[in-house]
Amino acid sequence: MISTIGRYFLLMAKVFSPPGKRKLFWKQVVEEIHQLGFDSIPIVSLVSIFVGAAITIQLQINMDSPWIPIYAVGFATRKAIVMELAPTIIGLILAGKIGSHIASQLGTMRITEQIDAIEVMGLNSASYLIQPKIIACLIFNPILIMLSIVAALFGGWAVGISIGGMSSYEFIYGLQSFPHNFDLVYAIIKTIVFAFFISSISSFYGYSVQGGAIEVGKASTKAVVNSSIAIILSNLVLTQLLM
Amino acid sequence: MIEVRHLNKFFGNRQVLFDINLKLEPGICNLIIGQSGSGKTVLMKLMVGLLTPDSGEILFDGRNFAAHAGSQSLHKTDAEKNSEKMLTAIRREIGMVFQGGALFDSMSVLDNVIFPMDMFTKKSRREKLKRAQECLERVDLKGAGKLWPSELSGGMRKRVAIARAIAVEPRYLFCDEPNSGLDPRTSELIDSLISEITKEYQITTVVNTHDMNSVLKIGDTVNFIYEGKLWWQGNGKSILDTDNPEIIHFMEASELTKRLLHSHRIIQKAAGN
Repeated sequence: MISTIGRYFLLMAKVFSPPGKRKLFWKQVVEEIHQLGFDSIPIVSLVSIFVGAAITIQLQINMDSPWIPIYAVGFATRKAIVMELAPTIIGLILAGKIGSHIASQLGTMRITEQIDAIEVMGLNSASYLIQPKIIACLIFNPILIMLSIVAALFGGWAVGISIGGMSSYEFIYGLQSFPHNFDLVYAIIKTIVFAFFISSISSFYGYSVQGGAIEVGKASTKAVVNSSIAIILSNLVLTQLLM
Repeated sequence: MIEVRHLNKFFGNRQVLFDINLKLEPGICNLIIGQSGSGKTVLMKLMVGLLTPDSGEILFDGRNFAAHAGSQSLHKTDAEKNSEKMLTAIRREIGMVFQGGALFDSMSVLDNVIFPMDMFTKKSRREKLKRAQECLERVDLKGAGKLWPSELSGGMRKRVAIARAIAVEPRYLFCDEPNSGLDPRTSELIDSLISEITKEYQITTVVNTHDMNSVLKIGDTVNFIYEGKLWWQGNGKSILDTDNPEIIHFMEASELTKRLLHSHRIIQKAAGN
């Protein structure tokens, strides 16, 4: 365990040494944004809409009281989605999707000697391959979370007015009540930390593969499991620190 | 010229290379042969800096990088930093053909060949394209630039790997089992290509193989490794005259070479009489 953490930090030191040609580096970042970011939009939207809808139904059932105004459902939906559900649940979904993609891609490159080929050419393979992935996730994951928030609120609104017995005005009034800008900043800070963990931990497991196809599968599983654990633990720490 | 001096390598407590001394000359094909597990791949990985030796030196035209390179420490000593700089400089003069080709799956054939030029030259896009086309023509793959690695046969992958290796005009060419998994005809083509390129560019070529056809065809110098030790040195012609039991055992594993050896002995005996 300690040796794994040590190897992770040594790899990160190698990753954050200066990249090769700046122009090629940004081209790679754009390619990674396309592969890791844009391709995640459908799953993020789908999950967010249904999670938002489910939250609204739960809140409506549990807040059904004459003492609580109906618009409070909209307010509580917003608070739950922005503060916890969008960054954390979507973080976990992305750990599965992006994490397994990165680990299996790097693992396959390792066992087919593509990483050795880069090293033999005199390039820092860790920096060349991993740094653009981390930067792409740091740039694009906050955008995905914003999209997730919008989609989840839309899902909540659609369910709220269709089967929840509330008007569109009441739900939107609730969403706009007691605005607190820090909520959004908090969500973005968490997302950036999670994005770093997902991309770096998955890269570590993929880059360190030794052996054959079975090891690539194992690395992919370890990448998803350990990224998810890192997200859950850091979520607790960040909640304590930031709130 | 590449010179290997007193090279030793351990994996844990197990020693895999014992005091290897070699001189690999430019303009000829230097073959390293031996059965699987003999240590020849480890030796090649040490030479290109993918592994670090436990003791010994590897000199590329007098430049030694092996002493301190490959340190994992975060705080490197000056000697380690200089070794790593030297390693990077030497690696930019190395072309390597890996066993499976090691082509980048995410790039077309043309982009694979352009890749080292993108990294290490200041050529314009047009110049790089021209050079890449030249290299692909050289390996008889003129129209394959737009294909993807997944669309290539084993022999074509090896030829693209050779084109990529020579794109930046290396001084040293390493080929790790270039004809493994290929049919005899394609193997022969790859061997001829390596030999021609070596002579054309006057580069120091090191070929790792256990294919006796390659030994006989392009073995300008042959170094036989057995159980981590350099057992015999000679060339593709003199290997048939050897009385070293380990090499004879190695050669006789191939039925064709066994018959060739038998015929050679009969001819030698007749000539002696």
